[in-house]
Amino acid sequence: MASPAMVTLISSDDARFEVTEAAATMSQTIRHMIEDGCTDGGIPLPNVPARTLAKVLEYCNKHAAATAAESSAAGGAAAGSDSGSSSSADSAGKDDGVDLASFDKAFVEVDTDTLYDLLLAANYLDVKTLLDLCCQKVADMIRGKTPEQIRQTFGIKNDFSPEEEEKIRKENQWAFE
Amino acid sequence: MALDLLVLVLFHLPCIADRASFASVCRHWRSAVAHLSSKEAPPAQIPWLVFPSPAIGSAVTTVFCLLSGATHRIRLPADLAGAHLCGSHPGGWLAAAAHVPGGGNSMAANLFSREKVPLPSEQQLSRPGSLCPPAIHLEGAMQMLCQMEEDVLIRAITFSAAPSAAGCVAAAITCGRRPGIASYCLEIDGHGTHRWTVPKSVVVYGIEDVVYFEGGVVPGFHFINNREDISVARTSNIRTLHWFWSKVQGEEDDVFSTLPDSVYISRYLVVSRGRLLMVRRYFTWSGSDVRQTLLFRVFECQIKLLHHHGFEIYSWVELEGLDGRALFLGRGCSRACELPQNNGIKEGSIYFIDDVGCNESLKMQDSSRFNCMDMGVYSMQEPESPSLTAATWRPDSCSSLFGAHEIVACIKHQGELEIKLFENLKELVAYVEDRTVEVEIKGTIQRFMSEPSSKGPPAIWFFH
Repeated sequence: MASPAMVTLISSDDARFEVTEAAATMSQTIRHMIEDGCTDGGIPLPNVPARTLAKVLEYCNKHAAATAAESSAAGGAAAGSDSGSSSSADSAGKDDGVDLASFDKAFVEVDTDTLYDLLLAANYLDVKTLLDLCCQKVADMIRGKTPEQIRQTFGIKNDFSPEEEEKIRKENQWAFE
Repeated sequence: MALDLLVLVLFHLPCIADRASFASVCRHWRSAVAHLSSKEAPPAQIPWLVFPSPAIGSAVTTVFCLLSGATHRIRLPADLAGAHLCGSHPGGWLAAAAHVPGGGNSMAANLFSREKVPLPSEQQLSRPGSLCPPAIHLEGAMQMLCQMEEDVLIRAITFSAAPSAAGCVAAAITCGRRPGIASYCLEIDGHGTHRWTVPKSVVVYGIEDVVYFEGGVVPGFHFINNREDISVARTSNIRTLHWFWSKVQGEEDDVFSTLPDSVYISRYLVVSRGRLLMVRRYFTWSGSDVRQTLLFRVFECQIKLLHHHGFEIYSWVELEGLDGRALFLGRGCSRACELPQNNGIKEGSIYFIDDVGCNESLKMQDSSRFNCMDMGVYSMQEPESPSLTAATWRPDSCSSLFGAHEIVACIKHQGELEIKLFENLKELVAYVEDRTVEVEIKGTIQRFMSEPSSKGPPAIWFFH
């Protein structure tokens, strides 16, 4: 089996990462750069620092590998392998699903600064599933909370004027703070 | 955080309570909410379940939001603090009856606009022997006519329109010392008198639910009793009840008639897609106040003319599924919801609360001690369907608020039917053993995990 195509990514602080093209192209931004032939000497990502890029690539490697395993399992079944092996491939695929879900859950168990960096990187790199995952995590941290609890969670300063505060209070008389 | 990212996060926060909190964090976050709401309509809301605070006179209460799978704290209008919430209406309305001294006012009030509409006090209904108690003149007053019965309490109130709308009429079902229930209608005419009006006909007993429905033989409030007869009161003449037979199609061969006496039925009326639905809730009752709901069956009404008799009957056809809908059942406030896409709620879900036995509970003076154990969600889907074996509730949200699935099976043995709940199929097989039985799996049931407390004032559905 031929070794997979590799690409080099360069973080904003000049760290170089060698990754499979399958993992790298989970990013639509990188996919377009590869399609445009801008890969010579590595792909510069001036908006993503090494620390964040390493984390994003951990996500992409895991998901690209899972996708590859899934499609090869599907291919095996389609090729007419016996019923015993196709059912074992099915169950392996299901395990991967459970595995990926718990990987995702653990992946975003990070401090708010890291989560914010991941959110920015996922947005810039256009990794849709990671962006969704990060937005969901931020939403989970907001859900059911009062405005003051949200401010504390994200370290946000209340910058409303007393008049604005009053207007909000009137609008939201039903909301308990 | 950049505005576009905040907007992306907002897509994951469909509940209006979360959006209101979000918009109150800071100017920047507020602008994200404004930006999004200028571009698209707010997401469709799923009813909240309001758990009134067990603390006497407290306006701050907990709501359980199925859409976000979270609980929110909200502040009820002050007039509703401590009152028995016994009605609701789409658009943010809640209605309360003041059962206990200091327990709020008899009032309909809007959570969002804070509008309020006074309702006549039910205490006027309770005076023994007085046909017409001294009228109490309140603003926008109503007058009341009382019937000779003691200990009459309002069990549920429903409205023909938003309570603030011109010409809105409210209907109440009540319970009293006798095990049966009488029905009353109240008129909010904005002028005239502050009163409950009682139907002219003989007192109707066994009323279980009421709904406002314009599509029947006679448009108006439809009442159902424990024999499934339908009585209808027009809003223009609430003193006259029109009475109709009702009949479930194919009931002659229905094995459900062979259920043992220990299985009881309670009925709800729901209006959906311009049609009247009847829901039967089958439950066991082990004495005291502990009930266990086993099964729901949903019927759709077809009004039929009996030619040889020359009158109409309400003919019911059982539905096998709910076709993109979920039902939220509560006395006088049941609604069917058309489910929005990807909301995490399965079609064919029937959400129920512990309101079967409030007759007895209401009569107990300590009205803050309702039993809230028998509440949860019934699913008309069979457990084989993949969505039931997988975690359909979003992780970290609703799953923690519901207990495990139980399988609802109907087992027919020697011509007799029983309804049993099983934790899994293996348990069902063990129960059947080698007997010759017919087994039909009807659906699954999951109970709320005694949220937020097992005893408290009765919960009620709230419609945004």
